[in-house]
Amino acid sequence: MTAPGLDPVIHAQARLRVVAALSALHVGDHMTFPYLQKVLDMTAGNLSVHLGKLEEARYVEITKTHQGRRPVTYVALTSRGRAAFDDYTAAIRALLDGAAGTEHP
Amino acid sequence: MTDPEELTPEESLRLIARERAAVTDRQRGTMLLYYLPWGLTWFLAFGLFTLDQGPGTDGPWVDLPDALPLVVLFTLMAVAVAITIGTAAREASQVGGDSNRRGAMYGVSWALAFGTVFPILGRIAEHLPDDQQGLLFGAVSVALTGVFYLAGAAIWLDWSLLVLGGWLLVVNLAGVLAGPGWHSLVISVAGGGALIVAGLVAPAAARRAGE
Repeated sequence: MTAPGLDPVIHAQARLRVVAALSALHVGDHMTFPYLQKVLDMTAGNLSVHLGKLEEARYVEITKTHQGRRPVTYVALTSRGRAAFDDYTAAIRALLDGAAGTEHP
Repeated sequence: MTDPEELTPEESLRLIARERAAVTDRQRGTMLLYYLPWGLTWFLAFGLFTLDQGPGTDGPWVDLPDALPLVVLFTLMAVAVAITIGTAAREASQVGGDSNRRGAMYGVSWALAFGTVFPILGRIAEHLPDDQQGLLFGAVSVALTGVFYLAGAAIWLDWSLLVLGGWLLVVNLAGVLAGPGWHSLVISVAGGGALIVAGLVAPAAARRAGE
């Protein structure tokens, strides 16, 4: 059961962790895939699957490039992803506020 | 039907806070690696200059081998440069984008500034007595460093850099006005000390500001 009003793409433990970590970067910055993996302590396969779902929703942008001869993969939140994360956080806070004070509509 | 993976709102907020902190704490931890090597370099090298020059007396406070203070200064500087470049390279391997470009331009600016100003000082220093030569190099180095911290404050909107840069410029001027040996003492304690304190305090201060 997903609480009403919560974005199902983000409201899942692994993907929420990915989006939260990426949201800590400044706008215009991106993380390398191995670093994101280290921060989240996820396997490469698991992280790839969840990034795939987030990319499908156009919440993250995955850029494959080269640094010298070494291939590098960068991951960043898109502006759409950042907005979805902000909306999600606001919805969670609203749920908590609603549960705390029943006098508020 | 209850999904065991289903997050409660409290769990969601906890996860968000934890992962954001995991990223920002790592970034702040690197500030120590930028400040501490230079703080120790200034503290130790200018400390030796102080002992060698003996402010307030006619001779040295402690008789040191002639070359020792300069050898220590250049060795520590080489180590500090290596740590700074290594730290920047590691950061670049983790996070890319605008911040990375900002840092790269800032780093190149330091190298360009010191690389072009030092030869000018060398030309002027030829005509000065020994103690004034040391003062010229020390004072201009600290002044350039202070100005770069002020520029850093403007680039990253960081008040701690503004305070640090301003502090270095003021104590540097005070040291120059007091004279050669005194300048070394002031830069060792108030300059090197300030960089060490900044390295220890900046991560905690940035954490509070981010909350």
